[in-house]
Amino acid sequence: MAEAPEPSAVRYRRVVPPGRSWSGLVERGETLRIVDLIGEQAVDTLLYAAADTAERYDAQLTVLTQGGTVVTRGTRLYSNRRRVMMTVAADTLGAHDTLVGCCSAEGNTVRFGEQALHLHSCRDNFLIELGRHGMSKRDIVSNLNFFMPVPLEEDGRLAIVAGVQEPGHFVDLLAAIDVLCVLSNCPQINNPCNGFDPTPIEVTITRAAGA
Amino acid sequence: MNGPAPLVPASTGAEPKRARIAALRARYEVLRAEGQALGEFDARVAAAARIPRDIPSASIRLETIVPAGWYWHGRVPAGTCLRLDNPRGTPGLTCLFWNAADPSERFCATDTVKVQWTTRLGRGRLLLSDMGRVLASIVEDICGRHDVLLGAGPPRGDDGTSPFEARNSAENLALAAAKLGLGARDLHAPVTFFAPVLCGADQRFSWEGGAVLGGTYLDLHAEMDLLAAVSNAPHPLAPAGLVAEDAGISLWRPQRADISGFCRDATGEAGRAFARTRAYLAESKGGGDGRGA
Repeated sequence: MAEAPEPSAVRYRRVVPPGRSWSGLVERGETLRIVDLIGEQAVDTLLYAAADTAERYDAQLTVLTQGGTVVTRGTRLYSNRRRVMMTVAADTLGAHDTLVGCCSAEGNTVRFGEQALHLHSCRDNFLIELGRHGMSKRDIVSNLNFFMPVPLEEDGRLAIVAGVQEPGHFVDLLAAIDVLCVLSNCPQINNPCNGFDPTPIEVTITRAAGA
Repeated sequence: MNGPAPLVPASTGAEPKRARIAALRARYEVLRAEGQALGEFDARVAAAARIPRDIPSASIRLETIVPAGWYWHGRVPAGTCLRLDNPRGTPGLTCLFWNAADPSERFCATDTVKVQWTTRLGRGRLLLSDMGRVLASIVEDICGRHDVLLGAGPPRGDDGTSPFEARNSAENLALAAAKLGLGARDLHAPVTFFAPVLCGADQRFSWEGGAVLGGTYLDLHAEMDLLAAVSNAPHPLAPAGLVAEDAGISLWRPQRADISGFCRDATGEAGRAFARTRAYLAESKGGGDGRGA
């Protein structure tokens, strides 16, 4: 378990309400901490190089490079230009996903029926947040899902399964370059990723050591 | 009101909330059980007619070779089949697809595996878009070994490797997309057919050495007008001894109506995705049925 950051090193702290989005610049050497305040709350996450947002998180290159699906402490999160964007520097849970992407109103109707069309979704959160940075739907790629276990069986089957109902789990993402981080505190109520009851998360940004 | 309005349904007391959660959880478990009942899926798919290797020449609209290391790009009209032919066992044809009418709608690897509850693509499965619609149905598949998790692999590094000996799918797909009028932001996670990737219980990937790739083929039935990019370069996990071999591409028009009907009827998810696609295409033609898609 990583220690709490030195309070004086924290330059930013924000609680993201259930179902809401957040984005922010995490500069090289800084650490983004995402805290699952209540527990069993998926956080859909996208990363863009601040210098040129056409460079972005590449889920496939990330799992290919490490040879497996498990995202945990030590995982290097790669860009589509083969650069390390961030490293998972701490992880108290060890159950995250980068295979199954984000929920969308459109996908939800296919998965759960037409009644799901008018429910808020991570992709709508991404669109709102990306719009603030001059980006669009074309910029949404396969994302990370923190605190969301999706075991992959040997026969290829996979499913989102119940998470861990414990408060306070967190991941630390250490930025290797200046990264625009875009988060959706997942609003999904049709599968177990949020325990069918979305809850708040907290993000903090900690300054680089010695800065 | 202070702060942003909640975007999830407000809870109305503890008891109704517990009941709502229980109902949603029960419904999810039913969908999961149905979606992962592979035996039923296999039985429905097995009952459908197979597509032979030889296609009547009158049905063929285009026939071409993708030389080892190279790529193909083109349009695949709705109702047309794209045949990927792998006579010599090239280790991977890596593909991207877009809605030709609006390329911001594109192949979505993540929804494709999540909605269908499996990463194992094959005959009877669908290639889904990010808009909850069907781009193409896999109406025939003799190989049965494909990868949708690992992508094209890294582009060539600045290591002085000659472009004559180091062609790769990352750059091939970028070139194909560029020639379709698309750019870097349109490049997204691809699917690689003829790539026997296994994932073990330890969640680590390996290449299934004994898998037969040569002499196999696959047919994709376009459910809307598509732009397609196909790269013929080795999958990043292919052993060094496996080099790209020439592969074939054909566009052919099936005589049989409803050739992908068995894909549509195989699962509840497929039925809903097809219904959304049909509604969208009807609206696009100005004859919408009034449903939002």
